[in-house]
Amino acid sequence: MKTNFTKPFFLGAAILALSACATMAPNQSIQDAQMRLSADYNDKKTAERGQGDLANAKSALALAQTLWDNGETEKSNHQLFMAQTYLDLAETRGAQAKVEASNTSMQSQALLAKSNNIIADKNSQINAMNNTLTTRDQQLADAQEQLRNYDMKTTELGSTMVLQDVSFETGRSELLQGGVNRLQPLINYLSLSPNTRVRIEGYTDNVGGSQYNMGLSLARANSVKAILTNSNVNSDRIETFGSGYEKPVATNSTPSGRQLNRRVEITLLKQPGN
Amino acid sequence: MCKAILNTINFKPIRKNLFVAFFATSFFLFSSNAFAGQSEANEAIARAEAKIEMATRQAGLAGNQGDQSYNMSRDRVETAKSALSKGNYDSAEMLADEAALLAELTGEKAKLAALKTSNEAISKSNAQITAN
Repeated sequence: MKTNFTKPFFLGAAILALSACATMAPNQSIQDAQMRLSADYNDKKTAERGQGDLANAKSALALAQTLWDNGETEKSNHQLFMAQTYLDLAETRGAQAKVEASNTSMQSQALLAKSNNIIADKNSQINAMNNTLTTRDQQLADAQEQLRNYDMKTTELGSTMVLQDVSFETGRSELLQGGVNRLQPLINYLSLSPNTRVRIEGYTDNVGGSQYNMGLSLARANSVKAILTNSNVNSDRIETFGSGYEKPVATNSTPSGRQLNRRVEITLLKQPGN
Repeated sequence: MCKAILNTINFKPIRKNLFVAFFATSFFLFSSNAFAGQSEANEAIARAEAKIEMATRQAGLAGNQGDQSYNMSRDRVETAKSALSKGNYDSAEMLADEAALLAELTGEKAKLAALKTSNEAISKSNAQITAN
């Protein structure tokens, strides 16, 4: 007896074909979500900050695929939606991390910029002070140079200048105009050298009595002091003495000698430590 | 001897009792499953509503209630309640779970919006500092 295998073969093939047709077609949305998951894992911040969400998305996608393959469309769609939302969450957390990093960086930049501005301000102030000091040094040097015009001599007390040609009328203590002008370099120097103290000592010729000349010489010294204090030299820095006709520098027997004796000596006192 | 014992038993009422017992057990199992499904759906909805409330506050603080996930979350929780009332417990639970996750997303998006706002403020401030 000959067995005919043709019929069962075709029957089997037909069943196979039908079952193949019954298998669900691939779900494009699940595939898209899988690709998105891979991309999120490759993004450092998203992978770090959204670690848990990505793991949940992965599980949900695997379940969605299984349910899809089993034809459970509603449940598969639910799992797919959950997976997509987990991906949204992971990406949002990743974006937060990026903005936080940017904020931190910008705050550091702001701090740096503020510090730089403060340093620039300080530098500007230092430069201005340096300029002022340089100018002052120059002015002081100029004033010292002008002091050389006085007949300076070094004494135990300091540097003494003699204003012999400062004109005082006989018996008068007011300085004549020429004398005031002669004091200007001294005033300039004292205003630039605020620690310098001054001793002013007045002398007279021998016209008149001793007591009278003592008072007159002191009045002449005070007259010079008044000119200095009127030019903003602090009076505490100035001490005055009157020596009358003692210590003459020339003969009192001639008019020219007496004029030389009518003088004021100004000493720039040594500063302690100098 | 065994045969003798078996012969003494009247199987007819036992078969009837077995039948009743089978149906009672089936009904009990069905009911308990149904109750479990309803309870889980209820819990899921409660969870979702709590998350929506939290997200509402966060979004309010961030001034970012315009995000679509917020509305989607609220819509889903309402649909879940509707499904629950119709006895579609599985569907209700699924919708509630989706709603809860969407609410969480709303909260995180609100945080992101707040961070971006501060980022812009810092950027402006930096521009001013640099200009000075």
